[in-house]
Amino acid sequence: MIRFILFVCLISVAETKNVPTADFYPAENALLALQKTLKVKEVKMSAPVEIGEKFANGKKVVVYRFSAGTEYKNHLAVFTESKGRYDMFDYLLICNDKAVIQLVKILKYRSEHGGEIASKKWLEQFKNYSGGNLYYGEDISAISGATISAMSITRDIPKVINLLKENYLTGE
Amino acid sequence: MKKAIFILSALMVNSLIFAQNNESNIDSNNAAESLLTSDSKLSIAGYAQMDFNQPVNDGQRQNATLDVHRLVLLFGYRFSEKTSFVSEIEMEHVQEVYVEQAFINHEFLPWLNLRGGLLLVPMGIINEYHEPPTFNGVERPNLDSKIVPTTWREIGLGFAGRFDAASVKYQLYVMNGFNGYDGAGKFRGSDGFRKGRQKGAESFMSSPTLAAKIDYYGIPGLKLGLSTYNGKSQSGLYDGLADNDNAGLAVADSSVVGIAMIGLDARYRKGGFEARGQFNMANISNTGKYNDFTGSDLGSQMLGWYLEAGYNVLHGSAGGQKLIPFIRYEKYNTHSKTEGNVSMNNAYDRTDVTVGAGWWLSTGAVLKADYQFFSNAGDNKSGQFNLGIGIWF
Repeated sequence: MIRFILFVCLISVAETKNVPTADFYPAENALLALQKTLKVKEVKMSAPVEIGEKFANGKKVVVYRFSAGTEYKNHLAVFTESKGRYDMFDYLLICNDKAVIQLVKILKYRSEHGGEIASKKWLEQFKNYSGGNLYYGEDISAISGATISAMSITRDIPKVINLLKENYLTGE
Repeated sequence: MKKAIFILSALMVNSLIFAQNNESNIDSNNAAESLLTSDSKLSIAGYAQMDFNQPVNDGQRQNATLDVHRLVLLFGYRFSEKTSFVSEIEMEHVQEVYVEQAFINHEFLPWLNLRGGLLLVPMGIINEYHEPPTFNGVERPNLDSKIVPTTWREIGLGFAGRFDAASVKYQLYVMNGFNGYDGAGKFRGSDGFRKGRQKGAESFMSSPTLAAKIDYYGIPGLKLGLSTYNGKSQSGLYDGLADNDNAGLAVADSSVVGIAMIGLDARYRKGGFEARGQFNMANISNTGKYNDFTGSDLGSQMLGWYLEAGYNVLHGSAGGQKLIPFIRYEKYNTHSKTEGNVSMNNAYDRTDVTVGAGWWLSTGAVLKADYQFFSNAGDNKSGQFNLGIGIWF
């Protein structure tokens, strides 16, 4: 009987771990993702600023200001999401203090198809983007088998950068 | 029944509301996507292909055919961040119902997913990516019918995953094989394994097969694929054989063939230009005995390839429409080698040229028209005019 109760407790603990938290990338998760992405342990991070309600279709956007190592001083870490064919996928944009993209990383791709967009090489194309039109298949190369996800992120990134410029940087 | 109607109408009302909400938004998602907000666990989608085919033969009248070739409905359910289920119900020619896919996927890590159920065999391009708006031409390439028997799916279990740093993804499955014999031989010279697909319908297995594919997409605009499929065909004759029944075993062994198929494929897009190509070769062992036993004419090697190029003439214009004239050249021979008493049939050494265009009204809706020139080494020539409607939502 005790064993059974223990077992149930263990299962419950395991289950609660899987329950997503109410907030999109809260500080704890954001810090972990940043450390992993930058491969730096010492990351200083500000409180989050949520600008999701200003984003089209209610997609979530959370921004942190952070510094890490010598390379990242007063940079912005933007956690956001886009729509694949069937599921949302989460990604991280790292921008400098002028909202110029330094790095894009897919944090969570949920669907069975379309994961090709997580390719480091493909995402490198967004490096140094700082606003203006982005055309899929032109500025950003096409990627077979992941068209919907690729078009979706190519459409959303300019919106995020605009949001940063209009609503976040000016507030500083 | 009433319940079903109620659910359907609720879904329709729902999608209407979503559609209205999205009207003001230029980047609105389509109806199915709108149903699927980020927190939704259920996915509904589908694709369809409706064809008009008019064969053209000199000196002979022929009726055209009009067909709702395929109508496929996808239902997916996400149990958690890691575990999901995908199913596709296919209605072929209006009256035949099949399950095209039905599998569960569990992600341990992005590079390690466990997948099991009714799976598409990862071979070439079309078998996995066959939604009509994703390919040129009303009909799929014939290579992807006669050598790769699309839509080729069997029940299996295996792993899939991707390596983001290397721009590589892979699939590796242990699967059930073709039914090569269940009282009569299923394979034949004209289209190889096509009649042997079991499609997960009360399928039987005498030995498992192995299917694998690796895709590389590290060069901008280019995707390269390498696929392999290895194993024996299945035979009903093994069922119930006594362990020491050597004579029975010898007979059963004559009713199977060994299959080693490879595929190479490439897709490229830059600006308005797009091209794709595929090569397949299947080496088949034991066809001498198989053909003697079943009276069939299966070749011992099938080999084929195609190259296709198109250009979007609306490239660069606003509105998101595409108009893509294209040409596809195919050569495929289901008798590129034969053994034993079967001699090569020239009629199976075929060359097809398809010329036409597709007009994409949106990403998921296309109108297609093309003409196909069929010829073979037996000097037989014919043609076919095709019109098609393809949708994907």
